[in-house]
Amino acid sequence: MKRTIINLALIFLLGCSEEKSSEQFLRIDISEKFSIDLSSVGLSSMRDYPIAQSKEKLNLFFIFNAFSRTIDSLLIDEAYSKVTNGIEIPSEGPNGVESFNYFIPYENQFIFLEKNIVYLPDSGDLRKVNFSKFPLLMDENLEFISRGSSLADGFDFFDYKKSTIYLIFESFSNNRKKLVSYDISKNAVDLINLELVNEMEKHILTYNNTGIKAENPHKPILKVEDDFLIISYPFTNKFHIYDLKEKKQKDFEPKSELFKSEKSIPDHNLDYSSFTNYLEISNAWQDDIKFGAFFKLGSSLFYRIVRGSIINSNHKTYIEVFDLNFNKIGESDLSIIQPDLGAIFLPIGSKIFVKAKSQSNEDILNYYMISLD
Amino acid sequence: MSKKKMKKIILTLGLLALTFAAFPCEGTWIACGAQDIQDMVIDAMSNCGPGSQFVIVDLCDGNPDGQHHEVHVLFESNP
Repeated sequence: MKRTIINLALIFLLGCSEEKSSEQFLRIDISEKFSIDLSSVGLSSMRDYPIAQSKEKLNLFFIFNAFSRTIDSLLIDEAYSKVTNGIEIPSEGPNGVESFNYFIPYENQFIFLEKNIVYLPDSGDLRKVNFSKFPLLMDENLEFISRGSSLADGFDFFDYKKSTIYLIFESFSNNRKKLVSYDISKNAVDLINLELVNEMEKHILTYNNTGIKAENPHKPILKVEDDFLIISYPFTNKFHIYDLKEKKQKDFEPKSELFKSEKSIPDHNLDYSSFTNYLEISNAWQDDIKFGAFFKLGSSLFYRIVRGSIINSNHKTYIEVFDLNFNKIGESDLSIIQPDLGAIFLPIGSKIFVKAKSQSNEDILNYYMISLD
Repeated sequence: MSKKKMKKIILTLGLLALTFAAFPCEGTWIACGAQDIQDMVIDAMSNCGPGSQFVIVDLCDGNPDGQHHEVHVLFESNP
């Protein structure tokens, strides 16, 4: 049975806009719980996997099944969903991909990303491009692709129109991060002048050993849209829009009546007595409020999911809704409507697929669909 | 020392050097609990080469939304 709530969402305005009212209604529907049987492909509903969305068919998702090393497909439909075994990704040989963190569909094949390597489809084969060989990146000591959360919840690095990859690279030695573009046809990289938030330094928790360091997942989240990039962060409400045509950056800081604007800044004077002590502090930081990736919803909206702080194993789940100019037009506490919402929220046209929190059988994936009017 | 013996020693040393050269590690690793993560990092220090980058996800910490704690590990490329 559909549960419907008309939510009075408090809207605040980005400061100077005079025409907008201070209150607007968000009408949110969350469906009944649906299920898909995953047993035919061996995926588990209790694990998260690298996932990518088809550009042609929005309700089709590709999932890397690490167990069988296949890219399986998941077709989501309210009435009929199915999962299908896909092509195997060899780890060795001329088209082998030993390991990868992210992938996206491209020309009936896939592009794969590893720490500083991209595997590109090329006349039926895979071409390996090692970014560490580009003098521009070597000169800047940009050694690694900056990885966001292990949960690939929105990391989107490819401009299909221009066949260009956008990535944030980082340096081991000084935490410096730079936005980099890679033009596939020209096989050329370029640096993009993007200014990231100053607060990032305060949120980096590092455990250092000689030549090795462990960090909390503080990295920026990158999302490629048609002619612009969205860069947001897991620790703050702030985000940037980078206009690729104008080559200009615009900064946003949407306020909320429902949740705080930033994770608490960790105490950097702590002397970690052990690595496990460091992990405790890093985990506490991760349990604080977390801002998710931006997604386009239908043709006229963007949304972002904000997970409230985890306290006594409970947390709230909020949604922020933006217009195409990134003015915030509404926000709502989704957990009031349905407390069983998990951590994955993927757009399917004008609806949002949400993995359910409760997954009692690993062969069965439970999920909900959210609609916004 | 004969030329033949010298050649053999050089080949043996070369083979040993290849055997002990650690390659960079990468990917997403699964752990269960803080102690397991620590053990993985200690193992990586022995077995992974410069330029390694990997993420360890703790599947046993049971976050209520299904998302787990993680730690990102990086090795300097040219220490």
